[in-house]
Amino acid sequence: MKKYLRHILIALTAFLAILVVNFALPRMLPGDPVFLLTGFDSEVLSQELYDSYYTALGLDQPLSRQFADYLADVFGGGLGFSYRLNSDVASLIGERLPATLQIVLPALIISTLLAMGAGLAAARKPRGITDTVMTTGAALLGAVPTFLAGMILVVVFSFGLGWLPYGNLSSPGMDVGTIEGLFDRIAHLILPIATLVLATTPPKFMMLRASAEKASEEKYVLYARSRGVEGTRLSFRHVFPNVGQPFLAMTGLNFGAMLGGSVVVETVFSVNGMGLLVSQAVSDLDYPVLQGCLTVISAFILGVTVLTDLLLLLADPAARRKNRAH
Amino acid sequence: MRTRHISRPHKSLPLAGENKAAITALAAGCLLLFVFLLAAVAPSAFAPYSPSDTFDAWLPSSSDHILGTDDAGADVFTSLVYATGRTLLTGVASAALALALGVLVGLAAGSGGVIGALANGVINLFAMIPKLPATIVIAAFAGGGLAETVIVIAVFGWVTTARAVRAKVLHIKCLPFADALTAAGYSPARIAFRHIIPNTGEVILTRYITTLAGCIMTEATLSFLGLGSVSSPTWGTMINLAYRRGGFAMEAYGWLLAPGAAIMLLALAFWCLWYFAEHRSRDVSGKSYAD
Amino acid sequence: MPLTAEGLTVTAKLREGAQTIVSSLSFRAETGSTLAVVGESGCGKTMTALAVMGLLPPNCRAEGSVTLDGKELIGLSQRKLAALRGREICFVPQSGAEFLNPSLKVSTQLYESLARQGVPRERRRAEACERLERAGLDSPETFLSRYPFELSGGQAQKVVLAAACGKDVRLLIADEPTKGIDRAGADAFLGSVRKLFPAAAVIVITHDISVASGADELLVMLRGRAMERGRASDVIARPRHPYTVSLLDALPSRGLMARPALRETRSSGCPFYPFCPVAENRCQAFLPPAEEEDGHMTRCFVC
Repeated sequence: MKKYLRHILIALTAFLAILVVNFALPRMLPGDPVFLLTGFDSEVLSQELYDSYYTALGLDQPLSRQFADYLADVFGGGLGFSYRLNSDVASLIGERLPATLQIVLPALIISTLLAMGAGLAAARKPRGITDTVMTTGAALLGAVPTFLAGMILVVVFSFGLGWLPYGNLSSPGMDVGTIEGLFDRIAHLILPIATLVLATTPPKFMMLRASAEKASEEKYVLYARSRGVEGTRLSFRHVFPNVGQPFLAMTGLNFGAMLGGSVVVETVFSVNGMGLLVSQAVSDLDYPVLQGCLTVISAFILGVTVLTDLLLLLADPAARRKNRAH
Repeated sequence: MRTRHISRPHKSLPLAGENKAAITALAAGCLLLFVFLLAAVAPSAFAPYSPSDTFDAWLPSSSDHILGTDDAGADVFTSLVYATGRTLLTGVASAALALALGVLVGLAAGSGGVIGALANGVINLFAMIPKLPATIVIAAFAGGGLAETVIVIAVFGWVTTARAVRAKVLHIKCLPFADALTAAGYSPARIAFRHIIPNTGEVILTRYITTLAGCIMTEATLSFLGLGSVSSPTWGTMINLAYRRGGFAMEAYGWLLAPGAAIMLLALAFWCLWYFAEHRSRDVSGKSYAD
Repeated sequence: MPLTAEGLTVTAKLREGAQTIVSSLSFRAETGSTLAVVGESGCGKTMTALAVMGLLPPNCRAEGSVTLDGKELIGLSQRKLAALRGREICFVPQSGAEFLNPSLKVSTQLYESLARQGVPRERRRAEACERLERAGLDSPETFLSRYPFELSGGQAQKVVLAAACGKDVRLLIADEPTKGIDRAGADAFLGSVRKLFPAAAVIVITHDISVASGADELLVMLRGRAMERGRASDVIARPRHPYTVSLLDALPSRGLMARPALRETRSSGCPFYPFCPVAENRCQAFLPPAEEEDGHMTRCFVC
């Protein structure tokens, strides 16, 4: 119980720390805060415009006041304003978030299930054939940069074999509402999801394999085997409940890595999601957009952490029983 | 006691095959790394042309240009060889900085008391921050110079090292010799620097190898997104250029994929070394199990 | 003749080289009788049990012959061994509290065993309750929904006993089942084991030779070898081997303290040579042969 509370508290602190860093970066760095907050530089901005931005951004106010305004903006839903795209960051992200989540959520589920099945299977006979093949495969995959994996998939399956479309999430003129459009969407999603799965599964697999291998020396495994319990049932019913907790907690945390990975994936596949927004903001030096995206990603991590901790708490018999007794 | 008896023979598995695998890994890793280091130190020995030579643009791969040429007519393989040094330098430097940070914070976190709790809190906090997005934002603010890139990568690259060092310190502190030193009246600082740090050497070495691979990956990703320096390109920068200048449309796959493959080989070389180091440290700790 | 072991040898591949953990052990356990295997921890008695069940750690190998109802177990495929475990061969660990899966309810683990023993789904609950009651738990329903950490040590021990007592059990192996229970409790436990498994051969592994007084046969092990074997009452009343004598002498203090090595030992000699009060010179270099007389085996030059 205490463990989970502590975890959630740390996640909350991390979120607040990101907010503070976001606020401090443009104001503390040696560059001019106006340039850093708008993304324009002195070649574009006349003195007149510069002054108007200076007051509009509240830079003439004391820092405490600026911070209060900043927090109000973040929690009020504006998340800052992109002068380059002439829109508030929240709506820019809001438009693109669905595309990102369509890639990230399925990838999260698939990679977790894949890591779970492979990790438990490999740990069943450590250093056996299955284990050696899977562990070597995971090490090889782990060495492949995400963008390389994506590009190879594109070159092979889109350009080479022509099996799957490349670019965006729908072919022009397709409506996802229709059956045809839905299949078109799925065809577009396969490669980005596969790339993200390839990039994020190896560490999860390695972690679960290691803890499951350790668990196979535990007394409860020996006892279960002495009762004739073997194979899948031994792995999933006996070993996993005892090693699954840190694995699932890591999977929750991994959501942040997946959102980060989707920056690369969306850039490679030209999917107009939050990741591509980040990638474009990087080339445009559109700082408000970058900061807004970081805030949103941190908020997601906070939410997912709270959610996984709650679920793990509910699934933890010891914690559950104690609560009932109180 | 009983399970110790059951599991002891298991834990000190010798398995000749495994030893062979570890030594093969070491040899493969060293060989790969040696080639990369040579390319970094003496690129002209490997590159068929000078980096300033230009040819026709967008040449496909041929015996003259094994990876073809880019949009400006430069030989891709030559660029690749000349980018090795910068890529390695960024990786080595940022990993060294990350390692130093990680060891310091890890030692502090293992020291107990207020400082220990505080350092441990910082570790847990950083572990919760989305590494790649935060690095991207800070890199965008910091700009693409070598020093800036190195610092930005190290800022989020130290966390796992700190965790590993902390765990090792806590483990060492449980051993009887630490108690004996405290009882003998040695100061905590002396114990830390003369007795605990030398004992964490194995962990630090292993961590440095993994951190190096991680830092090179992060650098590549940042450069791929356009946050690298254009004047002295790394492999990541090459991919970014290839991608943005229409490498896909021109089917310049040599330009697009070769730098990524080079990064992969480098990461694999580090993985091989890590595998050997990990196997060796298991060997050592295995011996302490067999009383 | 449900269980016979002939020349059972277990070797472990260790970093330092191969090590023999159990060497050419022979014993039999009859249907309806109890064999007690006695020895200090580390003497190979648990490894013997694991070898019989086919559950040795991956770096250990068993050789020789172990037959259950005439069926050879050594070298049997893991699949066939697994099919026997939990049905014909059952295991009671030394502490149910430690060996039950901490994340699974008592009912889950009991039903799992019942299902393997062929109890149909609709009868599982009733059968589980009945077995728990026979094992000595009052109001068994209340225990079904508990987790192992909600059981006392004694209760957990009854749960593992209940999981083991299927109708097809031919061999029951109990590893230190009386650990942490006093003398009276231990006798009662062994009595209930005998009652619960009328049609099985029972092997009780223990470091406490007094537990063996409730058994029919007794096997004394030291460093992987059988030192003495015979009818339990006979061995306890008239021990022949100096090691057995020293075990019986050490009884009130229970278990043996680490004794200083009095003499230099050689691997080829009698394993008890360093501590033996009556040892002769030949005991250092040569292993005494096993000599059998009226079903009472002793491995000693002197006695």
